[in-house]
Amino acid sequence: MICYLYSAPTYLLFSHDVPALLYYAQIPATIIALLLGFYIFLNGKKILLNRLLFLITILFSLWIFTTLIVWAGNDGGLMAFVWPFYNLILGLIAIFSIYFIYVFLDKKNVLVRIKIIFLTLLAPILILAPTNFNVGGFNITNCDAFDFESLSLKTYASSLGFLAMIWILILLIRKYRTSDSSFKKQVILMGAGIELFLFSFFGMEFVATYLTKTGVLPNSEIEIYGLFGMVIFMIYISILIVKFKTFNIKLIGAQALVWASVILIGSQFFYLQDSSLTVKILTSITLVISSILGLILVRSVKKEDILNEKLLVANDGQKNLIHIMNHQIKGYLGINRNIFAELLTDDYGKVPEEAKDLIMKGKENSEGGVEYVTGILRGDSAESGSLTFDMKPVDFKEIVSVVIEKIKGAIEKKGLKLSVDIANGAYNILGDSIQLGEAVRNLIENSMHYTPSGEISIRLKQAGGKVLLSVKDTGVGIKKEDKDKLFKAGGVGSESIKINVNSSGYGLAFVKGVVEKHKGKVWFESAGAGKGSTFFVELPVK
Amino acid sequence: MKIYFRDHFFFLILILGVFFVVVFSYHRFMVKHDYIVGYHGSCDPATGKCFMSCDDDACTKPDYYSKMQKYEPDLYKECGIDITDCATSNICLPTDRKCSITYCNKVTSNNDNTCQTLVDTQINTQTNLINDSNNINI
Repeated sequence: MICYLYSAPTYLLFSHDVPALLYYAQIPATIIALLLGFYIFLNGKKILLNRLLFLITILFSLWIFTTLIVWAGNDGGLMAFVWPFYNLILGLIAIFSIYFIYVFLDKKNVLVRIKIIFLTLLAPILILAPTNFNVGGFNITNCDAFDFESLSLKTYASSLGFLAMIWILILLIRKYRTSDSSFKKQVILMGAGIELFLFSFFGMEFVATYLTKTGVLPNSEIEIYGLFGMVIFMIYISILIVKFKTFNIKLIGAQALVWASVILIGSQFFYLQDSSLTVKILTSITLVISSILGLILVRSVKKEDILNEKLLVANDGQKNLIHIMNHQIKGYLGINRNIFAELLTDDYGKVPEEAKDLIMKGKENSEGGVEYVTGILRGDSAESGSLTFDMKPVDFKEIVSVVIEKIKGAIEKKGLKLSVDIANGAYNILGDSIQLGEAVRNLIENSMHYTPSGEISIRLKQAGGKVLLSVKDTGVGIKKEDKDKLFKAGGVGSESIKINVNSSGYGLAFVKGVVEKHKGKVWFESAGAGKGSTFFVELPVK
Repeated sequence: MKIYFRDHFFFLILILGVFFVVVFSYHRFMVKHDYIVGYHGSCDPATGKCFMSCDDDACTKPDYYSKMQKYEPDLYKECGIDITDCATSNICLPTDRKCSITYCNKVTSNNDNTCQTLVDTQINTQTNLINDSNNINI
């Protein structure tokens, strides 16, 4: 039976009876989503995450296709056949969105029991979709099935969407709490993208159907606005791919931008059916020029990208070489130190008195060399994140006290005044006592090295669930232009290098790496050159 | 085979389910035409309470109708694919299965007083004319 008040569509999808701009805007949105999904799938066919995203884009495209048929069509029988698939596609999108997030967050397939839950949730829709519990008929005057659509199954399908939103939110929050900072950003981006998509898609769809069924609205046109949520989702996916290489593919931003522009310009032809020839020619010229310029842009950006990658690889190679060299040097210096130490024991015959000083100097210099190289290796490891930590409940007050006890002799020998103020309280933290001790020692020794005269003040207090250590000195201070490089491997202040030319520049990088691994913060304050400085370390109490 | 099913049972069952939905729906709607068709039937406000719809705010050309429902195979047999100019589409024949005609009443109009008869329309028109002439006299 045909809808007698509506004209037949052209090629199933094109009709004058539809709200043109809103309706045809779905076509470029769908093409972009499908192309991106297909591109991701092509670059990792065996990767489950890529397959699931592609599946979601296919389901979304089927939804759009169904909507286009229903809006443009006038064959009641065909539309009555197509209408029941709405609820089925709704349910599938909801469930596969949850499945997708599981795999994205855990980097592995879901458990069997979760899959059984998914199937159980979909079962009512699968069983009832072709029956009267879903759609019982079709209205050929209004050309819709709202009068014959069961609100209960529609409500169930929509509620799966809202269940998906809540379920996904819980998964995202749980993962966010236990992730490192880089993955946290990905969690936020993916979460925002998919939640916005689900909210707009399911929210608008349910509202449109409910208001049309109850007669508040004459038709369900507003549901079309909800479909733009997929475009937002694809934007977030693109950002994830470009910034974090998610889905294990490389897509440069320029490629994504050019593709989207070409599709959007090309889609204008859908709106130009009644326009003059001049407008169509101008649009064609715009499309051709954009495509050529886009291709040139993509090629040049790609060249730069390849160059950057080569530089990164070369840089990594150089870093590894330096690391290996330092290890070897440390090894040789260590052997030298041991040889000098052995000679001083007289086990190889009595050493002449005049030679003892020389041998002692050799031993001290070798020890200094070992310590110097160790500092570089440690700082480099801390910055790159390869330093290992043995995390246990420790008393930070005890760690600081032990370090101060070992180092106060050297401070007093240099003629500096040392003041220590440790407030009462519990200083129990989760940490590696050895690495923390080295970090504290580094800070205090730094103050000692860069304070020609005056005082070093060490304060330790606990407040608001945090431990705060401060090391203040009356030393050379830090210039404003040096502030950014101090905590980086190899970074040395211009004032500090005048006092200690042997500074490796790795000590503070090591301190920063250790403190951040303990979920703490390290920073400094200085009024400028010659005005001393104060270094702060803040750690969370266990 | 057993391991393949254990690893892929989710997608296998799902694909089977979707296939079932597609095939069953196609058979029901496209082959057997087992569904009800709803449409606006003719209605005379002089003899019965009709639903009314208007094309514009001034309602210069009101459309009076009743709500008809017929089983598709029966309607198709009587009128073909297009019910325009098909007289039997406005009545329920004794051979029709699941045929119903709904006229307007407080319940079917959702209590919004859209039911109209010709007498109501004439009274409303006369009331408006009296009000207009009173305004002119003043």
